[in-house]
Amino acid sequence: MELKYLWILLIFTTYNALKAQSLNCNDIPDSLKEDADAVVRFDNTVVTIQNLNKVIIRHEYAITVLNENGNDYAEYYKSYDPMNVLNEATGVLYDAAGKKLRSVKKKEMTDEPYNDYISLTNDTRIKSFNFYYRTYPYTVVYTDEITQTNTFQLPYWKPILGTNCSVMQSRFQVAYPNSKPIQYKILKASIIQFDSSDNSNTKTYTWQLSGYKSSPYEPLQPNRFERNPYVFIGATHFQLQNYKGSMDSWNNYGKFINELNSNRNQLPEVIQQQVHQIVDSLSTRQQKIIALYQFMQKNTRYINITLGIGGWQPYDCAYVANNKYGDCKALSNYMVALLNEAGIKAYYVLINATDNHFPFFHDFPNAYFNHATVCVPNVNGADTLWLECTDATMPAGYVSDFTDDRDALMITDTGGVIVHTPIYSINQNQESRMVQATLNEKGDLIAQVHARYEAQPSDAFHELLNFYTPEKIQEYYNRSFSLPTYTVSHIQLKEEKKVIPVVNESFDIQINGYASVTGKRLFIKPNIFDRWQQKLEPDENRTNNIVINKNFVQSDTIYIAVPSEYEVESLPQPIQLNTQFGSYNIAFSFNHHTIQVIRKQVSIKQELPANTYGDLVNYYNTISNADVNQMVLVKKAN
Amino acid sequence: MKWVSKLLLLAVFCSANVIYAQKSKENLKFGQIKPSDFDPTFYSVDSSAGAVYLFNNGKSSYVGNNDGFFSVVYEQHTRIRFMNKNGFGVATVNIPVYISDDYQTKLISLEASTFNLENGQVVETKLDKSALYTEVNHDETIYKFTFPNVKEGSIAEFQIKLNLPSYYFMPDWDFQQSYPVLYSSYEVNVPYFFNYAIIKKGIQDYVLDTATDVREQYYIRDKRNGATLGGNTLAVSTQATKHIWAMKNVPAFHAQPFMTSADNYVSGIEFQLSEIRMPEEDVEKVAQSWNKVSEQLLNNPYFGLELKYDNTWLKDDIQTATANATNNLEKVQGIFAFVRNNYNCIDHSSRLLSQPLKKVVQTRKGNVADINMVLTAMLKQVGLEAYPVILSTRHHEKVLRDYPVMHKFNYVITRVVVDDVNYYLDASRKYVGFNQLPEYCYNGFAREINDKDPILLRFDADSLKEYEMDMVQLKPDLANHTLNLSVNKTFGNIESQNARGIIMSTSLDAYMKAMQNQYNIPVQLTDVHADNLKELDDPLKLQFTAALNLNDDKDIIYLNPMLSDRILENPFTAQQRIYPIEMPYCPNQTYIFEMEVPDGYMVDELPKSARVQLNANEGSFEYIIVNKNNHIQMRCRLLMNKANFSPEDYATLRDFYAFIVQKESEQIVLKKNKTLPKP
Repeated sequence: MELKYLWILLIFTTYNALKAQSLNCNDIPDSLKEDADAVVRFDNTVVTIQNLNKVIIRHEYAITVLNENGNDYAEYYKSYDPMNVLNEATGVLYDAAGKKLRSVKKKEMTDEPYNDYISLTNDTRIKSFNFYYRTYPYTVVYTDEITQTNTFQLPYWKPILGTNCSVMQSRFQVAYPNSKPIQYKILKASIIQFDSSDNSNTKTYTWQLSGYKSSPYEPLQPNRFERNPYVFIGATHFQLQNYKGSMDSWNNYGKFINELNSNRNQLPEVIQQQVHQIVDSLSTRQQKIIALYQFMQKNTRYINITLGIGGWQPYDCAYVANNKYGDCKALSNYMVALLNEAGIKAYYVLINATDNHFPFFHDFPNAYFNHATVCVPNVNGADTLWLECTDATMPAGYVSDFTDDRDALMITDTGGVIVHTPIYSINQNQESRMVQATLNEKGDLIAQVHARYEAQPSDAFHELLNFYTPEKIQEYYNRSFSLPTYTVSHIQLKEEKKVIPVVNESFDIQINGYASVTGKRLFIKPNIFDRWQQKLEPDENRTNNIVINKNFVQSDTIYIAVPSEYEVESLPQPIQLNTQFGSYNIAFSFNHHTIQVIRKQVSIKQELPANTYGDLVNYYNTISNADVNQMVLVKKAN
Repeated sequence: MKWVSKLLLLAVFCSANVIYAQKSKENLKFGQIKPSDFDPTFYSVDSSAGAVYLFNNGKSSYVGNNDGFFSVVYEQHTRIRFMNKNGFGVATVNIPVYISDDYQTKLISLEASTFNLENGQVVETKLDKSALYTEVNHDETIYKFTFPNVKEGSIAEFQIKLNLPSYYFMPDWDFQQSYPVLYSSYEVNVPYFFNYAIIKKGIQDYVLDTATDVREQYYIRDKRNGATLGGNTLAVSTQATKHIWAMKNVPAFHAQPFMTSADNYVSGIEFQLSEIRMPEEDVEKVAQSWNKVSEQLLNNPYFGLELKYDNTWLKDDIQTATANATNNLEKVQGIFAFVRNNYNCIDHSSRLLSQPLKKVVQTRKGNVADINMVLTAMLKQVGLEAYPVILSTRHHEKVLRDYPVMHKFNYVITRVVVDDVNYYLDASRKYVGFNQLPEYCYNGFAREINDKDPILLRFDADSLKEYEMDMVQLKPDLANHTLNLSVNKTFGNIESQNARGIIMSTSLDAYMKAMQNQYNIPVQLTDVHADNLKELDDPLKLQFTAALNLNDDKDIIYLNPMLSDRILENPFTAQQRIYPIEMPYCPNQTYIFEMEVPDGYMVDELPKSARVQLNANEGSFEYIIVNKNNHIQMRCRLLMNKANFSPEDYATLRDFYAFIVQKESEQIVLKKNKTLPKP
C-alpha cells in the first residue's frame, strides 16, 4: 500500500512540474542557444523499483529544435520487448511561443520490429514518431512509461543527448524500497547535483544537470562515456525471471552467470568422441586448443536469436551441435565445453566488443555487456589464449580490434574475475612494404610491390582472403588506390594464421601517367602508396583530450628506376620528426638513375591532454604534405 | 460478383473433364538427393562461389477459390549447395509476404531440410518448426529461418506454397541471384479469362521459353453469405496457357558503378495483368492504354481525384504565395517556392498519395506525390494548366516506353504551362530551384497524367547538362613573396543543389575548409563571398582569394595551373564492362586560368596544348595554354554530349578519362631570369 501511494504521488509531482514549465522558446537562455542545434528544456526520468520483478520507468522530456540540423533530436524512438513493456507513449508539438499545435498517441506511432542486421530474429520492437515540423524553433514533448519485469539491467541516465545539444534541466530519480538496495556509478560527477531523501520504507535518489552548454564534435575525441555525464544504477540483489543474484561484487556477479549457464554445457556423446579423436593424438596443450578452436569454427556459424531470456542465457551445447549455429554466448559456452572435454580449463568471458564500447567499472558491477568470448588462461608460463567464437576465420588467440585492450569479466568456477585482453603493441602492429618500379619517358610506371602486414594492419587482408572471391579481390585492388589510371595484376596474398597473424602481399601494378610530363621534365611523387590522409584543422578552443587509437609502425622502401637521360632538378628535403604522438622519417635520394625513398611512421596508442592539439595538427599536416612531395627530373642537355 | 454467374453459364457448356497430366522436365522431388550430388568440388559457372543454387524453380497457377472466383497459388522449390563459409549467408531465408486488411497472403506449407553426406550416406536434418520465425511489419509478414546443420559442402533445400488471395497479381521471378544458379525455371498457368503482359529483363539467354495451350479445370466455391453458388462447387473447364521459362548457368549478379537500379539488369521476368476476358462479356482492358490508366488515376482518391474539385480551401495559402505576383509566371514561381519552402517531404519514393490533400496541407508534410499534388492543385486553383507527371527515379527501375506497368513508377512531379511554355517542377526538395529537377529524375520515360491525352515525356541524363565555370587568376606580389589567387566559381544546377545542402547543414566555412583541402598546394581560402546561396533558381557562385607562397627564393618554380577541380583518378577503374555505363549527367566544365609571370622569372616550359574527341562528337576535352609577353592564359574544357554509353564504348571512355587525368597533372615551369640582375 505504502509503495503504491508513493507511486501516485510521484506521477502527480512530475505532472505538475510539466504543467508549470513554459515552453516558450524565448525562455531559453541565449548562452545555451549558442552553437546549439537543439536544447533539452527538461528531461525527467523516474525509476520506481517496486520489487525485484517490477520496475516502472517513467520518462518525460521536452526538446526545442533551433534549426534544421537539430531535427533528429525531435524524433521519438523507443525500443521495447516482452521484458520491458511499453505502457504508454505520447507526443505533443509546440510552436515557438509554446502554443500546443498537435499531439500523438501511442497507437498512431509507427511500430516495427527492431532490425539490428545481425539477428535472425529478436523480440524487440520499436515505437517511433516524427512530427516533421520545420518552422524553427519548435518544441516536442514526449512521455512514456515502461514496466520492466526484471532488475538485472536497470536503465541509465544520459543527460547529454549528443553534440550541439544544450540542456536546460535534466533529472534522474530512483526510488527503491529499503529492503532492495541499489548501487550507482556517476561519470563527470562534478557537474551533477545529487540529492537523496528517505521515508520509512523507501529511499529516493535524484541526480540533476542544469544549464549545460552544448559541445561541438572534435576530431579524435574520447568516447562519450569519457566526455559526458552519466549515472548508472544497479539493483544490488536482482532477479531475472526465476534467477536471483547479487551485484555487490564482480565475483558474485560471476556466480550468477554460472547459475544462468548451469546445465548448458553437456556435449552430445558424438561430439565428445570427436573431441577425443581430435586431441588424443596431439601432444601439446597449444595444439589441442588450436585444433578444437578450428573444429568449432569449421562446424558452427554465427546466428543470433534473441528471444526473452535468450538475450542473457546461452543456448545449450546440444543445440549448437545439432544446428551447427549459435550466438556469441552459445558458441562461447560450446567452446568452453569442447576444451573441458579435452581436459583444458577455459572460461566464458563477458565483454564489451567494438570501439565505442561501454566502459568497465572495477567498483561498479553491472550487466552492460554486449558480447561473450572465451579465455584459456596460461598454465606453466604458456601464453593466455583468447578465442573469438563468432568468427570462423580468425587464428586462435587473435582478437583484432573487436575486443583488444580492455577489461572483461571471466566467469570462473568460483565467480567473476576481472581480466584484460591483449594489447597490440608497436612491435606487433607492423606494416612494411618494398616497391621496385620503373618509370618510362611518358610517365608510365610499372612496379612490383611486396608487403608484410602483422597483427591489426593485416585485418583488411585477412578479410579479402577469407571473404572475397579472386574476382572480387581483383576488383578491390583496381579501385582502392588513389592513383590516376592503373591496373593491378598477379595479386598474391598469403596468410600465416598465428596468434599474431601475418599476411604477405605481392602484386604488380601498371600506372599510366603516374609522373606528369611537361617538355623535358618529369614530375613525380615518389611515395606511391602510404600517404597520411588525416589532415586536421587548427582549433584554439579544443576542450577534449586527444585519443590516438592504434599502435603501428609503417615502413616503406621504394626504388624507381628512371630513363638514363634524366637527372634531378629538384629533390624534396628529408624530414625527421620525433614527437610524443610518434615519429616520422622520410628521405629521398637519387643514385644510378634510381630514385630511392625511405619512409617510416610510428604511431603510439595513447590519450593526450587537449593542449597538445596544436602540436598534433602540425605533426599530421607536416606528414601529409611530406608524403606527397614531388621530385622533378629533367632531361640532360646534350 | 457478377463474373460468377457468367462462369456458371460457362460451366454448362464445358462439362467434359479433360485431364492433362503435367510433367516437368526438372521433376526433382523434395529430398531426392543422391550421394553423387555431393561429388562436385566446384561448379564451372563460378569456381570460387561460396554457394551455388543447384536449382531454383517456381510456379504460379490460377486456382478456383472459396470466395467465388480465382486466386493464385505460388510454389517455389530451391536447392542450394554450400561450397564454403562465404556462402553461409544464403542459409538464412527470408520469405516476405504482403498482408493488408483485404489481402491476406497465406503460407500453406513450408518444408526445409539440410542434407549432409556422412560415411557415404545422405543424412537429412529437418528444419524444426519452432525454428521458423515470423516477423510482423505493418504491411508484410516475413517468415524467417536458417537451415540447421549446415557445413561446407552441405546441400539444403526448401519448398514453399503460398496462397495469394486475388486474381490480379502474378508474382515476378528472378532467374539471377547474388550467387550463381545452375538452373532456374518459372512456370505460369493462366486460364483464358486473364491475359498478362510479360516483361523480360537482363542480358542472359533463356534455355526454355514456351507457351502451350492446355485445358484446365478450376473448382470454384463461394462460402460467403448470399453467395450466387449457394455453397455448391462450380467446375470450370477452360483453355489455359502454360508458360515455362528457364535459364541455365546464370552467373551471380554484382552491381557496378555508373549503373542505375540493379533491377534493370537482374535477369528476371515480370507480369502485368492486361485483360480480363469473361465469357459473354466485353474484354475488360485492365491497364492497356494510357488513356484508361490516366482516367483511373484521375478518379483515384490516392492520386488525382481531388484535382477535379474546386479546392477553395487552398485560397489562404495561394494568397500568401502569390501576394507579390504581377503575372502568371510569377504566380507559378510564388506557389512553387511556397510549397517547397513550407512542406517537408518524408518519403521520396511514391507514385500515390499517402493521405487526403487537406491532411497534407494541415500537417505540411507528406511523400513526394502528396507534395507535388498539392502544388498541382494550387496551380490549377489559380486557373493555370497544370498536370501531375509520373516517373521512376534512377535508383528505382526504368519504366517502359508505352506499356503502363504502374509499380515501375515511384515519383510525381508537376508540369505547368504558362504562356505556351512548359515548366517541370519538383517542390519536394529544399534546394531544387524553379524548373529544375533533381538528377535522379533523369531516368528515361515519364508520363503526364491528364484527361485528354497522357503525354509521353522523356527525362534523359543525355539531356542533362551540368555547366560549371571556374575563373582563376594569379597575380604575383613580390613585396610579400606571394602569388595572389582570386577565384570565381559558378556551379551547375546539380552541384548548386548539393553544395547548398552541405552549406545549410554545416556552414559556408566548413564547406570552404573542405574545398581548401582539394587544392594541390596548401592554401587558406579567404574573403569568401557566396552569390545565390538562397536564390535557388540561379546557379550558386563563389568568389574567394588566397595568398600562395611564391617560393621566390628558388630558381625554379613549378606550378600546376589546375589548382583545384582536377580529375585525379580515372572513374572507370575496372578493365572490362558487361553492362551499359549510365553517368548521371553530361558535364560541361570550363576552367580558365590567367597568370602574370613574376618579374625576374621567365617561362621555361608550358604543358602542350591538346584537344581530343570522344567517338567523333560524343565528347571532347581541350587544354589550350599560351604565353604572351609573360602573361599565361589557359583554358581547359571537358564537354560530354552523352551520359549513357554502351559496354562496347567502355575502353574508349576509360582511355578518354586517362588522357584527361594525365593532361590535367601537367605543370608550368618558371625559371629565374639570369640575364636580369637579382633584385
